[in-house]
Amino acid sequence: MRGNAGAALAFVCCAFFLSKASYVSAEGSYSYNFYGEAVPSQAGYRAVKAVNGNELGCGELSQPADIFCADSGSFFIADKGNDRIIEVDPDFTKASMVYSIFTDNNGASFNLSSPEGIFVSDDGLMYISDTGNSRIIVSDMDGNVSLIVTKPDSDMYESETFRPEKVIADKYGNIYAILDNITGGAAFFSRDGEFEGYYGAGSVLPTAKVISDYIKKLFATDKMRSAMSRSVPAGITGFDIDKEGFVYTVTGSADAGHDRVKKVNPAGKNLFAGIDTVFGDLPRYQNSDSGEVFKTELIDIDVDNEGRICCLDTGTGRVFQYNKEGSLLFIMGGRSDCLGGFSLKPTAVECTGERIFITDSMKNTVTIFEETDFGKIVHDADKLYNDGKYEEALKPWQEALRCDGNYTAAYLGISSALLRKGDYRGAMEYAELGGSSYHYNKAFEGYRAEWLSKNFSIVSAFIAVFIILRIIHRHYRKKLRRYRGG
Amino acid sequence: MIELTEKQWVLHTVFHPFDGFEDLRFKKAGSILISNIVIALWFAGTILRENFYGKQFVITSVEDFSILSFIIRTVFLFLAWTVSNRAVCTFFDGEGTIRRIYIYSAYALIPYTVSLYVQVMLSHILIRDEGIFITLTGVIGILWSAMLIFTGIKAAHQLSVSKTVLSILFTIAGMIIIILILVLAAALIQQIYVFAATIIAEIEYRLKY
Repeated sequence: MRGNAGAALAFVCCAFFLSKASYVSAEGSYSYNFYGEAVPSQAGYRAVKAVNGNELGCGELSQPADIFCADSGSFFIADKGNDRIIEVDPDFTKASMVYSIFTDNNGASFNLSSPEGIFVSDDGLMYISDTGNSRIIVSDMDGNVSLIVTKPDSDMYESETFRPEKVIADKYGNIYAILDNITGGAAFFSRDGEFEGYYGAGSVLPTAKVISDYIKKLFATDKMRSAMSRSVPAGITGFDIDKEGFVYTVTGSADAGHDRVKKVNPAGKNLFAGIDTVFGDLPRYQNSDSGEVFKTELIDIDVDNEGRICCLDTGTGRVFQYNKEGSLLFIMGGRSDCLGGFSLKPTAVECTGERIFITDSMKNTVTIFEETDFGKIVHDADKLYNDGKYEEALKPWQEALRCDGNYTAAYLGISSALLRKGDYRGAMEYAELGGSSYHYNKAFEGYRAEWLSKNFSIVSAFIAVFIILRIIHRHYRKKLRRYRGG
Repeated sequence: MIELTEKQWVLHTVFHPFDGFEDLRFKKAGSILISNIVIALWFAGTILRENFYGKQFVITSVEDFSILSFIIRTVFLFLAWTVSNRAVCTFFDGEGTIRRIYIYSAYALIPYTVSLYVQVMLSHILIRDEGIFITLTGVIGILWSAMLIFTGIKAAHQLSVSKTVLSILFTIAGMIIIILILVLAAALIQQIYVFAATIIAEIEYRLKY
């Protein structure tokens, strides 16, 4: 029932907005409102093209596994199937460099084998996870390898294999790598390549099964215990590091609301632990046409220079963009053969602010999304809002609302701006429209104080009259009783 | 002994939690009409608290409103309580009639009902920081009503304290059984209905072609 209503609403919205040329409405664009219902929304990003290897002039890509945008603006693609790293110019029109042969310290040259991760630091070092050769290599832009990290020879490292997938490095040169079959978090190496331990491990959610297993194990013999399955946290599937050094991780198989996206500080603490947002699609999401139920399985995350977070979901083929605080901005993509849709296996996401790049290992393309006018308005407003410039944010939020009446954050933005201006009534109204009792409370507090100070004389007079009447009444009642009794 | 009108009896029982109901029983007072009014107010108060609460505390979606759930949570629950209590208390040699249980329980709910309205009123005046006063009102209302229910049941059946506690626990168990049986019955009736509807549809089909 609600699905039909939503579809009808979407149709009306599309019909309405298509008449305005400046705002592009992608079909099926949606967002979540305050009550967690999927509502039709304006698109913040629009797929402009899907680039394949021939267009870049480097031959077809084969299972591109990772994409990274360096500080210089150039893009680096880990072309897994062709055993090479491709550097693409900032306009994303041609491949400016192809790295497939590297030279180590001794002058010997070697090839990559199935690279699955690429990271380029600000000082121009490439960190490549050479997955097929079980090692991570650090190289300069000329292909001279300065460091090779292989399987750690440490008691802490228990796995037989060493298969690095995605790799990042912080500004001190410490290397973080996601390893296949390791659930204890990302492997952490010092700048000399020494294995230091694990970082950003997930935790096991105490479900009924985990608890019952724990109790069973208390009574089991060693032999029985060894036959039982162990409860291990879900492994990290993707991560990124922001300018301030916080590491963002995503876990594909995690339950909604539990460690799906984490912002990990250097001490290993999750700063998104108490957040309200459910990252990815909410559990109840179901396509009303096909009846297909989608389950979110986040595979990669990217943080751009403004701190906005993009999550790639391989379960639904969607990209979710969140602001710095973790509030949903836009949802784009989907699973389809058209432009802007993905196959079963999108692999990585990279965001540069105005553009979002997604590699697809079955289509062998890089899909480019560009910010729409609506997206720009919202991003501007959101940035001003998060910087505390509520009044400056008022105009863009109003503009955003004009484009999309379902955009909850705009109501709250306007509410905050009006509150700052002292228009408590208006702030209350918009907080109610945005469905936030928290914002309503702040506005109401101001409204009440204003009302009391304005009507203080009337209120106090009212109370005084009430008290006097009370006294008179009591006095007379006593007299009356005495009269009756007497 | 005191002589009171029915309206005065209401206040007397509410403000004399220990002997109010004993007096009420002794005087054979208590009105079904007032009990019905109290239950109606309780029902309305619950709806008010869920849907007309101060927006600084919670903003509810009107779309999700279902009056059935409110009927079940108030009127139905109360009837189940009355029936279950009457059924259970025969085990404990309780001498309360169903009328008496109904009236005493309804009177006992007055503080809680009042607290609902006070809460709704306060929620429109206070802000979140002062929300503790609303919680306090609710706690007082519940505790007061719980005490009145206890003394009410005790007086209605002329039970000892320990037997009253036991009978209340049994009553709650009885309520659960009543609800379970009703749910089962509803499911069964639905299946019978579906069965009958299928047969009728089949017969119609055969007759037509």
